[in-house]
Amino acid sequence: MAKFIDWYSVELDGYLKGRMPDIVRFEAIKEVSNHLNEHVEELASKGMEEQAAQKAAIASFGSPKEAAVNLLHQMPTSKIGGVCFALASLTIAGYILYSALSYQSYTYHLGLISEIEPFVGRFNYFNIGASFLIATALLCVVGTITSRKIHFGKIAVGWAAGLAIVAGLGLIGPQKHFANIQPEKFQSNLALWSSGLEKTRQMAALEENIFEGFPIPNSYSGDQALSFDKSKAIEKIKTYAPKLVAIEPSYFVFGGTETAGYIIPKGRAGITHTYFRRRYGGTMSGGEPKPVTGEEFPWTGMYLAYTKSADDAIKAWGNYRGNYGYGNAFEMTANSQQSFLESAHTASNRTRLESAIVVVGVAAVSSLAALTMILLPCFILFRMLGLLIRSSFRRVIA
Amino acid sequence: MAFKSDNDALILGVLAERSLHGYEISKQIKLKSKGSLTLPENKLYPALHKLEEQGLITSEWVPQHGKPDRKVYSINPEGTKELETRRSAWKKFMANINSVMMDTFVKEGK
Repeated sequence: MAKFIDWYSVELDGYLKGRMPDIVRFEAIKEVSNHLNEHVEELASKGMEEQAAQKAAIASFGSPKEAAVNLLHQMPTSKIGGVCFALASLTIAGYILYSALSYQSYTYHLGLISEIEPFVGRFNYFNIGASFLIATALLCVVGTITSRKIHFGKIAVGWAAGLAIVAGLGLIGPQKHFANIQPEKFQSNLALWSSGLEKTRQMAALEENIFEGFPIPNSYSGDQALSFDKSKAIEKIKTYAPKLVAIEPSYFVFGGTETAGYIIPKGRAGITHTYFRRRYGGTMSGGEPKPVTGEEFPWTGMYLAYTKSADDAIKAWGNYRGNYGYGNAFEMTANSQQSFLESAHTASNRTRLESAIVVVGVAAVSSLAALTMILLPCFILFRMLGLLIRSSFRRVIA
Repeated sequence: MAFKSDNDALILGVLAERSLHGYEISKQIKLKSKGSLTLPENKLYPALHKLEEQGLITSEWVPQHGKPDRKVYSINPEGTKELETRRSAWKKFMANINSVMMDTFVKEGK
């Protein structure tokens, strides 16, 4: 009857579970249990009643908690697993740092690597950043298998160190200039961009006037073109298209051989983001637009041509409108320009502290999401290994 | 006045005579020291595991008739070497203590 010793073993197991590899834990508990039983036998041989002997043996050994603390304190640990997790903490710190320095989708990213020669154009978030994450994942998996333990502490240290370095750079490191524009030119650029936005709004209004002649909001085809008042549409084109061009000729590119007639949008181009990308090498979706000179509004362009035929003019404007659906192309551009300007105003007013907080916040959230995706499979692996070891141990003691 | 005991050296000392299991190790230490040295029981196993990890002792689960298996510990050549080092250090330590304490004792004619 080893009621108290069984209870002791269960208690000890509760303290040790999840804190040491299962096989080590089973052996340790078995050893302690044997020790207590030996002691009980000795006391019983001296005439002590068994229950009292069990209590005395347990009292002599110390509480389960105390025993667990001592066992955990000197538990041998796998060096390989620890090294793997230590390296993983470095790679996660590297990921955070690299992301903050290069990933332009962070509106407030530090963006230093991507703008300093000789690194310009040589670093790509999606291959280097992903490499850091893949390395972290592999190291965590190997570390979990070899040490049968997830070293959350080491990962947390790497994560915190990465964020601390990013915060430090944000506060005292070199500063990234909004859209590559030097601070002394910033205010004059803001004024230029504001007047550019105003012109785009005027063009949007003229464009809307032209489209009043087209009753089809969403698409255009030759057959449908027959169902509306072509003379009214032509009158609109003749009246408003030249005014459109007159606002700011430098925004347009004329193509084709005709030099007079009806002004038409050429092909599918119209005013598009494609035009912006071709001219400035940036993208709308990749973060802040980066004009080369910073002295022009980053994107307002229109490919135009002339046609002698009124039908061709109606078809060209109708197709143009169809390309943008219900939207008005200049109106859409104006909205994008408005967002850009708002970012520019925010950038001009933000302090280094605000900037650092935003960068660290974004880096923290994105890296936590990445770590969750990495550590969740590791945890599942850890549990599976535990089950395997437990079942094999049960076979051994059976 | 008491001196801090070196648990690892005590364990190596009793294992130098013969292989023992945990409970017997703690009993032997108490017995040989005539009850003046007692290794806290719950610190015995962590110490044994550490010595095993350091490669100074080895262990083996030994089956018993009608009883659970027992883990028996033995000292190995590295452990014996380590024990000799600790014995030398202890002798030197005792000599130093003697030279401080016992000189006065002798001079006072006690």
